[in-house]
Amino acid sequence: MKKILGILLLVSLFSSLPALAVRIEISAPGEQTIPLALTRFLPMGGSATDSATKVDEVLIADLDLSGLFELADRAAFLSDAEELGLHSTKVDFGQWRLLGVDAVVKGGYHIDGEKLVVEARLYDVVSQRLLTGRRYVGKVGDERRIAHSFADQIMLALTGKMGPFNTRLAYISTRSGHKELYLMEVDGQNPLRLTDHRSIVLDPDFSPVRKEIIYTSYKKSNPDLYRKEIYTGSEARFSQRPGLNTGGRYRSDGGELVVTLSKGNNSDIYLLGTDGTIHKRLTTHWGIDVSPSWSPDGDKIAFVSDRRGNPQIFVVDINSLKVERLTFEGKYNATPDWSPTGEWIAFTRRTEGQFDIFLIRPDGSGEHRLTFAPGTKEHPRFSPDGRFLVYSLDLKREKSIHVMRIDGTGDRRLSAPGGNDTHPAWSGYWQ
Amino acid sequence: MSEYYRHRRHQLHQLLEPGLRRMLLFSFVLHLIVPIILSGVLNATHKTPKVPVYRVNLVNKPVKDPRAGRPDAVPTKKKKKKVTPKPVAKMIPVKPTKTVKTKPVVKKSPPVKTVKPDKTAQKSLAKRLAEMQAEAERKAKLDKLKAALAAQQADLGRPDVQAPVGEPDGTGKGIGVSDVRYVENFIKEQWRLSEYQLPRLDLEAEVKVYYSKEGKQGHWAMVKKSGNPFFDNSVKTAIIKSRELGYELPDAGEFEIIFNLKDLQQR
Amino acid sequence: MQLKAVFKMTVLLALATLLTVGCAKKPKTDESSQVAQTEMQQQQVAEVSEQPVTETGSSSSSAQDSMNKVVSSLMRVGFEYDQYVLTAEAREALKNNAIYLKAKGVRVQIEGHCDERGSDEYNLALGENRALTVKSYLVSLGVPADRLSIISYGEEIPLVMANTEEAWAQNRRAEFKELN
Repeated sequence: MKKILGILLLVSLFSSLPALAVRIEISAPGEQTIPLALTRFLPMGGSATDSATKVDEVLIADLDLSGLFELADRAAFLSDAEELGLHSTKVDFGQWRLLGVDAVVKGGYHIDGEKLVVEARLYDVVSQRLLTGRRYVGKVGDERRIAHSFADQIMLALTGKMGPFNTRLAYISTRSGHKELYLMEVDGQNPLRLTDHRSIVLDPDFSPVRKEIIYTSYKKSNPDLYRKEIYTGSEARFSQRPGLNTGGRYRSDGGELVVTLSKGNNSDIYLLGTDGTIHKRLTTHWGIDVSPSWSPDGDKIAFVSDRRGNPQIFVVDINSLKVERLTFEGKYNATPDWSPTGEWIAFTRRTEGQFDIFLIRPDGSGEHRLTFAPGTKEHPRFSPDGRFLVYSLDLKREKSIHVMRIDGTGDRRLSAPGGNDTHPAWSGYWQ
Repeated sequence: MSEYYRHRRHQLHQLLEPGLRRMLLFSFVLHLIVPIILSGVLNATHKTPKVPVYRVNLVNKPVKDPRAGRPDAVPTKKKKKKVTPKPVAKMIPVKPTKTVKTKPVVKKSPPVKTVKPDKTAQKSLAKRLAEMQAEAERKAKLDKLKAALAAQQADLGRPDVQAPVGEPDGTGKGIGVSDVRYVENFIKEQWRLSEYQLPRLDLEAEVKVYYSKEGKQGHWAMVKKSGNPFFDNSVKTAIIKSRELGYELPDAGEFEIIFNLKDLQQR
Repeated sequence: MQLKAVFKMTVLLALATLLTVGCAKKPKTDESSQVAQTEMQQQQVAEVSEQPVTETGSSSSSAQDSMNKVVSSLMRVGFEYDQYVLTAEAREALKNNAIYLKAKGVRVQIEGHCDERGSDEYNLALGENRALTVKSYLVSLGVPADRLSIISYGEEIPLVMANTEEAWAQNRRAEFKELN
């Protein structure tokens, strides 16, 4: 009995002893980048080709734009970089830990005639686990698309949200001598001309559900709305009312469009069906109402109006038609674009003799400027994941397409030199 | 008396169930614990010890002797004052040789031109001149050093010099880093997470981790999760990467480490 | 005894929890199931073959110029920045234009133009408003409305390609094109 008593006492004593732990608060990570080793893809049997180089270039550029990573110096790579390692048991994680990287990308490719197979893996070095793995079957020449696609997968694995790299940008360029519609990859590569109107083509927008672009063209001597299927090339004019048929934007489900129509009188915002019929008139005001942009859930439209004397951003509720003013600063605010995440509305504001890109929350709070470099920035458009903004930069001599992260960092030029490239639009997820 | 009690006990035995005695004893023991707890014997230990508040230096990584070599490092400053003459004294033998080597070349010529005294006088004059020159330069050097010292002391009044550098308790004597701050900074360095991975920044996780005296990680547990898998995973990775601190602690012990993004939120 | 058993259990439990939390979990997963296969879609984009074009007349409205003859005796009308109200000068010019139009009986298209500053789409609307103002003023002066049509080119067809105040002032205009 005494023993029990003693034990009980001891137990009660120990259990009531507080943990003499030292409390430490770490209020930010040591570095805000993930150290990643990107190995060159290796041939899986057969001879080495330039496929690895192509994949490599795209992955490096995409991962750099993401801002997520610090790519480890390849000169420091050890022998495991020369091993295929398509299964986690085949990877010497000790070597990678020695380099201080948290993640490693490995891959291989195989070419059989015209067929191209690419295997790609992302491993967590610390837990020695496969984070994401993909096998791509395509044709020789698909390397860039495959690499963009795997970059998106890497983003998905490390952030829970797909990257936007395997998407497309539409834009307007004068490279042929006229303003025509073009398409390119998100890193500015492989530009393709899609129209031959030899007139003025303006302001494209992608259908979120089909491989289709809408735009305004003066082909028939009036700014009419056209749509074009990207793969078949078939084109149709679907709003040719007198005056402006401009600023067409698809709702996120593709079911309806919002446009600016003037009907030869005064510009207002309308909802159109995909057949071009008017579903609803959203604004009725003698002032200029242009540049509509959908909220992601499709119940509100941000637009530009000069109803208070100079161009400002307003928001109209589609159901109640109630109009609320969003911007109050500045004398000229234009081209709103609502983020697909719903968090921000990007727009341009005239600052000191030029236009710059700003962000504002849909409730009017958190307004801040993103661009400060010289030159007028126009037409900001969000990437489908809401991480990036593409815009056109006017440096007086030439206009070019740029991309940046939505915190204003990572800015880079996309379109090749020697053209006037404007009006970028970002497609939805492409596959 | 004893007979009476024995009798009573016997009576009780007959009256009550046999298991009762044990039960009562158990009850007694349990009741005994109550006053022990209430008595305050344990109370002292119940008071959670004051949680040490450690200032986080976000700009400077932990270094040994964080203030060493700084003009405002108090102990060294005091030493400098006393020591100043010494280096000057040490410098003197060096300096004259330099000046003698260079200056006399210029000084030699005038006496040769003007008078033509005997060689010894010339030599002694040259020597004296050189000595005077050296003396003058030594004085100039001293003045310079004094001026520099004065300037340095004046500088101490400037806010940028007075601003703390390194750790607040740094003395320049070699115990600049408190052990806790070392652990904190070590683990912080292992923690890699990008803002771009997260939809929001108001996340927090807590880990309890044990380190031996040798700085080796023992058991650890995530006692509070943020709910964001990428945040939580980054915290786990940081802990796993901190298996060896490479640093000897004064004592083994448990650390409660809170990971959050307050510094990023404030931006 | 029962107590002993309880004590043993608690100790065991405590040990077990310590053990489980101490180990970094490495869930065994079948990697092959995680490796998804993607067949790259083989669709050919309907592109337009690109041919190099000489730079002649690239910035002017060559398409429209060939179709519409400029009514030379009709005067251009200027506007203030971000405005579509008619200035006194503009009214004078339009009075002359009205006399000419009434005498000739031609059909014309009024083009509204803007300078390059500002958003393209806003400028399209602004250009249209400029053309509309001109049209309604001409109608008020007795020009039949059915002989006047309007179009806005926004900032798309500048008269002068330069980034100066003078150039911008010249580009903010309404022009008249005779229609066949």
